[in-house]
Amino acid sequence: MAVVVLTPGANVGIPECSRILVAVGWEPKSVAGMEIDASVFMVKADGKVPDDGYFVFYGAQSSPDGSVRFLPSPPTGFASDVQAFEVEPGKVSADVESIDVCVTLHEGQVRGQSFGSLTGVFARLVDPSSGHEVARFDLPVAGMKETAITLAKVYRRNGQWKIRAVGQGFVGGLAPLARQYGVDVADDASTPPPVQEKPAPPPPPPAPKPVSLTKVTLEKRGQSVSLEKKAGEGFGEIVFNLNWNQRPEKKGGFLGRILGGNKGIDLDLGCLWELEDGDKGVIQALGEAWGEYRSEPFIRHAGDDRTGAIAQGENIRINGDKLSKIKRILVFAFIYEGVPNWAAADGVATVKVPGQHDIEVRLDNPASGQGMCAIALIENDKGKLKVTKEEQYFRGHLDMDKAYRWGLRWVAGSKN
Amino acid sequence: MAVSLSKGGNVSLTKEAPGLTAIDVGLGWDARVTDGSAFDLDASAFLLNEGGKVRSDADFIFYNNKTSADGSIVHQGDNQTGSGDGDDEVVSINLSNVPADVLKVAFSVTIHEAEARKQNFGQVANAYIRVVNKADGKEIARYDLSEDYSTETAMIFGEIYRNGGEWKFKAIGQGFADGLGPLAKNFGVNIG
Repeated sequence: MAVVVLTPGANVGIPECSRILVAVGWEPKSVAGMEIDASVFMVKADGKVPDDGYFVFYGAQSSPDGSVRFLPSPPTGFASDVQAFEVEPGKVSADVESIDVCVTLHEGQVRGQSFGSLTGVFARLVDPSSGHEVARFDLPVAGMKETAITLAKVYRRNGQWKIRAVGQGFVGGLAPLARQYGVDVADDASTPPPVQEKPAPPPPPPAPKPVSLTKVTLEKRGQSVSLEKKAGEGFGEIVFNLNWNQRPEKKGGFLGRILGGNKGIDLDLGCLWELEDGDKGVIQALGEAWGEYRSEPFIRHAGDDRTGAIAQGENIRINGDKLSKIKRILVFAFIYEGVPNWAAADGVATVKVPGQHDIEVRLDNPASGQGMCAIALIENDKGKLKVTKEEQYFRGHLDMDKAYRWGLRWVAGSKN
Repeated sequence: MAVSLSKGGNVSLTKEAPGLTAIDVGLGWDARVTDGSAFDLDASAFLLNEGGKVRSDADFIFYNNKTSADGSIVHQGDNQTGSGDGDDEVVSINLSNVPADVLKVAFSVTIHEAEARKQNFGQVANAYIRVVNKADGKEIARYDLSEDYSTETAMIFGEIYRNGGEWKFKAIGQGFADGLGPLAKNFGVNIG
């Protein structure tokens, strides 16, 4: 059977089958400093997702109806492809009219990249049982300024599934693309997990808030999530917890000594803060700068809290009801003594906001030799609480301050 | 309740709306939501004789020639982006004043600068043509083109035509590859 080559706007019927594969790829496959992700939005007749679960990507690899699965790497024999989606048309939820396959460039605009920077982007419709290519669409990338593109739509038409080549998108990236599909994400995020609060139900009766069993993980540097407060309420007490493996196992003795030594790893949690009125400063154990919770800067290190009420590790409490006074907070961890071994520390930061999903930031890109790690940036984004994964490593306070243009004056200090 | 037509289907406007004297033919499409050049679609009307041709170039009603010589057909103007509610372009027709030797009026839509902007109808969402009774504003017939186009840049959406003493409307959905010029030539217009 001949392959149908689609041009933008063209469509073709898909032969009936229980399973199809939509493979996506680009050339060159890997460019230094460029991150490309494929994602799928499953939308109703109005072009919007039924709910955020119908946004399928590496962070949420299966749709709620079980019909679409994200394959981070293509099956064997599909060497040209980079990522793929397996679709079972028979399982697609009845209200889903179209499965839109998209590609996005992570932080493309910030990094001055666009799909025009590539030599090719394509989508292929493949019959997984035979490996035969049914249809193919090569996006004309030349001159494209977009950083987020809907490549193709797999859609219902009179009881049949069809595929249409689209090739339209947004210069601004994933955020406007996702908004078009009714998924609200924070700007400049690559593939942020959507955690919008649903609009409050009309009172009475007040619906009890369901216990959340899920947490949101910010996987990539620069990825962020924004939380909205409920009408008439603040965010309450926000706790930033850092936990780490304080006594790493000495695997194989010799290696263990090189890696971690016999001493436990001593991480200190701290933060740089800046208020809306321009005041700024640092909170950390060093110099016993613990901060204040009820008065400015409305941030307090819980390092002296030995009540046991707080989770393991170290904690910083942020007065979320005073978020309007706060501009930004850069939470960092510092290794004062010994060889900075972030890999062995295996740090995990969790931001706990009452009534919201926990937000987890793992330090999973450890850099050796740098004692300072900027973990996450917490910002007051027009009343929303925006948390961005940073995980940037620096030699010390001064370098970090410079990188984030905080503008504090630093003098050398010692914990003792 | 308006009659919804599929490609090739027709309906008697006179029977659906007894006493009909004037209609608005509305054409619409969704404005582009993605970045890039807007979809600027232009509606045109061709007054056609028995042979399916214009009687003269003046029978080609479009953005540069908005009113027919007899005044029976008026193009209400160009919407350059497809934004706004309701019809994007409207051609008003006073049926009782249409000259007797005009047996048919065809309505086409073309994409402005389609080639330069690399656009075609397959990229435009929710295109339609509908016929509205001017007297009461009620929709008589509608044809949603959605799937009946793909990489064309000019389309004949539909036509109204005399059938004995009545006016009928037919859903056409026929595409032309190279824009308004060839389409107009097809109807006998001299394109300079």
